[in-house]
Amino acid sequence: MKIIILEKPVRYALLKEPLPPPPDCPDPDLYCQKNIF
Amino acid sequence: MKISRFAFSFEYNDGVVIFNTLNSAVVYLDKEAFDMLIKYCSNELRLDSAKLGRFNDILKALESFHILVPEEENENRTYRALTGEIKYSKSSLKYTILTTYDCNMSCTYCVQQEERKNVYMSEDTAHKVADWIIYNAKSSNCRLLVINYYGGEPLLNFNAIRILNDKLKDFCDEWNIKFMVRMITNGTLLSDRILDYLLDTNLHGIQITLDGPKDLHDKRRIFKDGSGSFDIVYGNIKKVVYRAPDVNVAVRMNLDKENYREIPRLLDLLVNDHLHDKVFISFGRIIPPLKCREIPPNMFAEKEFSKIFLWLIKECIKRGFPFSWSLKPTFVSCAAVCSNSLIIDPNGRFYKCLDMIQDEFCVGSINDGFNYRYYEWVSRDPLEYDVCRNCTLLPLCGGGCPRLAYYTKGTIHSPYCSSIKYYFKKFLKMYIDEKYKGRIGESSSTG
Repeated sequence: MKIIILEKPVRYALLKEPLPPPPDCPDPDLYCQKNIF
Repeated sequence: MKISRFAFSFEYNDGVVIFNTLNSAVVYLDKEAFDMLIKYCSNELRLDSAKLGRFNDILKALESFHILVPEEENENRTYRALTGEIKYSKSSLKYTILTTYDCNMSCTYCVQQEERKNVYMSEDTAHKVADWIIYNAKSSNCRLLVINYYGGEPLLNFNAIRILNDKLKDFCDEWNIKFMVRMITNGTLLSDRILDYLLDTNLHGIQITLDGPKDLHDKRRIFKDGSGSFDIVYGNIKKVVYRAPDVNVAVRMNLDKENYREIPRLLDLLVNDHLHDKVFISFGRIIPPLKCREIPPNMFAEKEFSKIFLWLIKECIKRGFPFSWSLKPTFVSCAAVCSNSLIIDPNGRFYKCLDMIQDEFCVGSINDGFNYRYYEWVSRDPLEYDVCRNCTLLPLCGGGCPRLAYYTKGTIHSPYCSSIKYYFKKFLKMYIDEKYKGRIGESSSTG
């Protein structure tokens, strides 16, 4: 019986690097502050 | 306790990976632990004392990660409250300013072609816009002011940029507010003089488009006389990267069926020139203009594009592009629904979406303030939509792109299931494969 913790929960006040932006928006930074790579 | 409605799970290496889309916690449970969890949640678990202790530790971990939540918790309310904190926070203000509708290029797929007018922001308007932003920054007590220049081609009206940057930087310095400048530019006008000025006034990020290797880029991103722009743009990307290593340079690749196959050749070029670890790559799907009711044959539909998107990410990983993103929720669909974000056009008129800059979508102006449409945008609430209320992925897409919701259903107050729905499971698996190579499947448990 095993659990492996891969990622701890984010602290909401520190949301800095969200998921990659949707590819439809001309400005991904309007969606989040970071691109994928 | 119950399993969170935001727990997204899938089988992985003889066990199950659970990802909480509300807080991005990820755990792996082996099959025995997962089966016990299911029985526990349906009150069918009977355990001897030896196993009970270990299983309790697992329950405790799952509870602290909100993968297990109290029966009485209404998680949509939790989502709404967290989303509200992002939507209505004004600790940072973000203004996208269109200095002109004009452009020195004539890209083959540009949706602004027909709407492009010879309109430039006047000096008087630039001063009024700066004053309006300063007024808002003072009254909201913000700590960060982000100005993002866009167009047309924003550098065609460098004079307006100079008025705005000078005034806003002075204000931010005086009020101890962090000031960041970003720009979306075609990259053809980045002279040394302009770059020096931008670096002096807090240039933080720049997005420049390359649509493929030279032969392909030069067929799509052309000057008005039909000549290609690759050499100039690529040279200027290198210039920014080497002269300003602290500036985030995003290389945007706008994709349709005519260029996507050749993107790996562009990636190879970036690797050969040692740029791959110095720029961010952003893949964009070219979408039809609002008035176009069907997706043209050369453009990708959402589901089709998700496959191309995953393929290109693999091509990047294969070539050693740094895999730096993390799995964090955005809660909202985009900045358009947030009260701290606004687009201001050369006439001082306000909009919420870069792809909806037409009179019927104007949400106000520096002279008149906001109209009712502004409140239509910031009140968009995906919990009003049946399909979102029960969707595990809601915190990752926030109800989807409002522009595409309008395009498909005639109103921004409707959901739009974006490509994330189609690629997310594979995307997450790829992320775990890449980041935790060999770690899942070890005999000892980890905490």
